[in-house]
Amino acid sequence: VRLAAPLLSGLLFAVGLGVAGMTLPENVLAFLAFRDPGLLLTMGGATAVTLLGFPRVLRRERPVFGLRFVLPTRRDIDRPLIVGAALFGVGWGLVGLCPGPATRYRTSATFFPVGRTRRMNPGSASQVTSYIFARALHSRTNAALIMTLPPTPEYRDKFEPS
Amino acid sequence: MPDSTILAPLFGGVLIGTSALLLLWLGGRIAGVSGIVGGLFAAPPNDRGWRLAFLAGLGLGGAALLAFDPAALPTELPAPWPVIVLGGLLVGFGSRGANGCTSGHGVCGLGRRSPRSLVAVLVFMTTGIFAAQVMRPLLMGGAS
Repeated sequence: VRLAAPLLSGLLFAVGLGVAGMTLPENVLAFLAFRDPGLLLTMGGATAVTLLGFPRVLRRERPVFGLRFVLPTRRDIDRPLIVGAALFGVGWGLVGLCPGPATRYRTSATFFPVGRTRRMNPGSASQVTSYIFARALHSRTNAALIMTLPPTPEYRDKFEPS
Repeated sequence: MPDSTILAPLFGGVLIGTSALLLLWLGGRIAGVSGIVGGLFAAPPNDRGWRLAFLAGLGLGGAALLAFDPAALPTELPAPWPVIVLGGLLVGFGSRGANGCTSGHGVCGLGRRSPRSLVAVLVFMTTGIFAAQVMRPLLMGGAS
């Protein structure tokens, strides 16, 4: 039961991306080139739900199938945030793929080689590879901590998306 | 349907928001795709199950799209492969540096009213627009 929630959430996420047309890089690029407002509507629709829903959910003491909410706690704006977001934006604007669609695209391509995608997508391959590198850089300093201790706030800040 | 060019992106967005809300409500987690994938390699083993389940859900959703609406999946990407690899590396390193991507900072971070996320979204929207409108034509000879 505990794993049904993330499974369902992932399923809904992928279907939402598909319905919104945001699995297609063309639509993302059209938005960034000011030719199509679609992505703004998608972000708006999604953010409206989270803006209204998150405060209500977080009023609970704990999630339905979990011990506690795992949330980023940092509020400071530092250089890695700005530089990372800037680099991310350039990669996003060059190809029109962000991690969600890319992951899904790759999984469908891997699981369903007879589908529309014949070859492995080099973009998501390099995304996944760069995750591993970036993770390795982060975790070299934290490896000992990760192995021995339960998650600390610092750990959460480093390894949970904000 | 009145106008699907407006309703479809909006409704899809509501589904994505609901997905994030569901994960927080039931599992207590933030639905940030880059963080979920990244955590597979760095998180302690007892923190991996839900990540795999979420990604399996993404894969199932992709399979459902393939079955019911194959036009929603790209056949090829609108860039030559060196640009795709470059973009992939930038997206990967960038989202780890920033601790989040479009889903984590955009959908969830804005929902939590996080100042870090607001800054991240404004920055990656700006550089994304620059990349799509200035860098793509330069790299690819005008076709955008």
